[in-house]
Amino acid sequence: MRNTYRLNRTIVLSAIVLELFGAVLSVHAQTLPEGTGRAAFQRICSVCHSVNVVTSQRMTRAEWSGVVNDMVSRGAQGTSRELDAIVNYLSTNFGKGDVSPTGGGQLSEPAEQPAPLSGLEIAAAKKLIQTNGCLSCHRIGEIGSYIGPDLNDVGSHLSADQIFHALTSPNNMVQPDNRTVQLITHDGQRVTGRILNQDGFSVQLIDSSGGLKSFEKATLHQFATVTTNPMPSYATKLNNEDMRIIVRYLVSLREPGV
Amino acid sequence: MNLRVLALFAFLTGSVQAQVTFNRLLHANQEPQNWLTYGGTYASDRYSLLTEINRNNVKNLQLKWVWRPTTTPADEKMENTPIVVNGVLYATSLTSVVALDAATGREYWKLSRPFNPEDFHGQRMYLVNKGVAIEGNTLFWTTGWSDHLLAIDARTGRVKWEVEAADWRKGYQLDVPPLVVKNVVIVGPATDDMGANCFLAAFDIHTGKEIWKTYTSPNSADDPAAKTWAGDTWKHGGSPVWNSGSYDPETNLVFWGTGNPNPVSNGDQRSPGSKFDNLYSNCVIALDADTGKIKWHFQFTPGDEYDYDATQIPVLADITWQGKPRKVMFWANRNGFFYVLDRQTGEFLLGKPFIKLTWAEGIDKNGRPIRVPKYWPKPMGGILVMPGSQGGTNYYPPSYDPQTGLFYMSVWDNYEGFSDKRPILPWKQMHMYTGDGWWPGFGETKPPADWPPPSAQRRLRRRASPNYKTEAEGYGAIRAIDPKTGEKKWDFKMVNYTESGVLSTAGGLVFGGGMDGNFVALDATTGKPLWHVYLGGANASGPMSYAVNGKQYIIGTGADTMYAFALPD
Repeated sequence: MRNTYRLNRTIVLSAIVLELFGAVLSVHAQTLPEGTGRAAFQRICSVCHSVNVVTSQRMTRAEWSGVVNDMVSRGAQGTSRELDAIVNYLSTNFGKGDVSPTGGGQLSEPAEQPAPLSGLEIAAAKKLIQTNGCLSCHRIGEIGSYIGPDLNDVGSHLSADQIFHALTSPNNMVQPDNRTVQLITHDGQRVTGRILNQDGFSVQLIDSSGGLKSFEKATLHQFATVTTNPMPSYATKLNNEDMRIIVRYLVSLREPGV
Repeated sequence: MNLRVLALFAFLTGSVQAQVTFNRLLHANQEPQNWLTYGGTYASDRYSLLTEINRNNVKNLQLKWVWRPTTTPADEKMENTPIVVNGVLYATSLTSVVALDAATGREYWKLSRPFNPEDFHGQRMYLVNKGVAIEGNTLFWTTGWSDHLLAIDARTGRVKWEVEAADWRKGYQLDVPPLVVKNVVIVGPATDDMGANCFLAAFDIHTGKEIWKTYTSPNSADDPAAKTWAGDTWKHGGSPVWNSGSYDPETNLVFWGTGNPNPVSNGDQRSPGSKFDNLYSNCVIALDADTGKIKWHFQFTPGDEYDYDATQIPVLADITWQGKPRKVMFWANRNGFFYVLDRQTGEFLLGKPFIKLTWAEGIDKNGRPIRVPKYWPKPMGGILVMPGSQGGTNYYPPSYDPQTGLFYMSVWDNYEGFSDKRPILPWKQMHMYTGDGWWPGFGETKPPADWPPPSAQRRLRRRASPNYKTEAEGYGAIRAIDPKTGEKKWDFKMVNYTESGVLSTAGGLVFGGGMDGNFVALDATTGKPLWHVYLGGANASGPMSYAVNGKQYIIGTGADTMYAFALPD
């Protein structure tokens, strides 16, 4: 039992410890550094444990990726994008060694940087995307719809292999954060959009033209979440060469600066 | 009696009135304008007799004030239930205690205890605090990271005494709301799976001197409970204390829930073949308040491998049970079963699932779970189980309303999780001792080669995030059950899960919330939502109510902030 909070000697010792490990300790003593992924990290990880369990560590990107995957297997609940953002956030702020995206172990394991596409190949890929109607749901550059996932950074999240599978067997299980909601307002207006957020009382969505809309569920005449994937399979619609070009093109679409 | 003595008596009575005596704590329900303990009363029923706010006018509730602790580091979430004494509200964060004007939220004083780096070496602990206790003019507060218990002058914030109630270097953390009974204040530490054997200890309220200490995992081979552990595995049995307890003055018993045995996810050493119970893990223990002697215990989940802590607070009630008056205890357990026990003897009266669960088929006549064989022992490599690791409910305090006769609680239903099981790494002080593999940063820097199991990982990555998922993929709810039968009466369903406690009031209302950020008022009889407000982050505390000058207030929390609501002036 000790009855005083600390002895003078301890204060001196603390000061030395503080100086030696100032950088590490400042993480405990201050709020989390700003950055993309911080909110997701706080929200998803603090359900089970203190975030400082995590931020007292220094790990490589591959190691952080392993930790986040591990936590997913224990029940951490977040979208793929949120989990990727957490890995990025942790490796940037609490990393060691090579923290670049190619430092290995990103959750969705983007493929090693492929050879750049030629101008002809890019033109061919863009034409394929146009003729196959991809942009009626997706968005590339400033063109297309907002109803499906934005493809401008798809290469940061999915590997060539994953993109190939998404094109050839878009199974019935659409990623939950990409689900479509369909609703009818009290005055009969029909709205379809991609779900952004919801709670028991309200729902937030983005419609095909990029309109951000929020509705009180109690005012809706009808509300439904579509859990199946509206995307058709392109397994037989594209020949091997076209498939190869379109996959390579999509892999090349990366988030700037990541 | 001469006049001088009479005057002295009057003076003493007057000054005593201002203090929270043990007698006032015993009859806390006679002063509903105050909220004197974590659970409202010694019965921890979290039921307010105030009626100004009721079914008819709750829709008019307005925000009156906000308290956001500006501490460093900020709390991850606010789990604090404040107490209120005569218009003064005492609230806590991880690193501070404040006295606020309960009507306006303005601060009278603040005591800060910033993180001491010497006391905190990145140990695995929650950056939360659940609240204080009061006796006389003294508040009792714990610092979770340094395991200190402080006695604080309620008028000034001055520290009267401070003791180290547990040694953090052994892997303890201390964030329970203390419980005062007569002349002792009782607390107990948790270990977040570092294999430190936990305990409850009583300290003299005036001096901080330890009066008794009772271990929740055996402290020696002579402890009869040691025989319920294979070999000497009792030495690192854990059995943490995560929450406050309740008190029954008639039997002078305090009741406390205990958490999981260590290693949490692998029982092969401590309970080979699932044949050892590992006392007193996952129990409610009834201790004599004066001596700490265990009078009875009831174990909810023997030889657990699924982290089904009994981390809940016991709710005490006097009810008619099968035609006769009976003094009982209600317990909705993390393992998914709702229990009714006789609190005088520990006799098992009822056990019924309140959510969908897979690990047991039912409960036998003695209250032991009838276990589904494929889960016991848990297969090496892990298994998907319902409920998942957060349980059917957790630390969120429930409520019992004697007016409706219903028991209200927050639940996670249709909720599945992967419970892992890996070889047990040797116990090391201040290291994770879980039996579910690799916990980085505590000495082990590299994961095992086959970690994590790819099949489970793939499946879970396909699962919905709480804000997008459908009800079939799991949901949170505030649920009302008839405690005499365990039957569900109504549900208020939420898209996301919930970490909120529940308050019921004589105004016919139930208050609670969810991780979606909504704080709601429900009709206590039907569950119909009557009012809600979005508080910007998960509700994770127990709501409470009090009155100042006859005006009733309701406290709710969102993220790391506390909000007070009342009717328009």
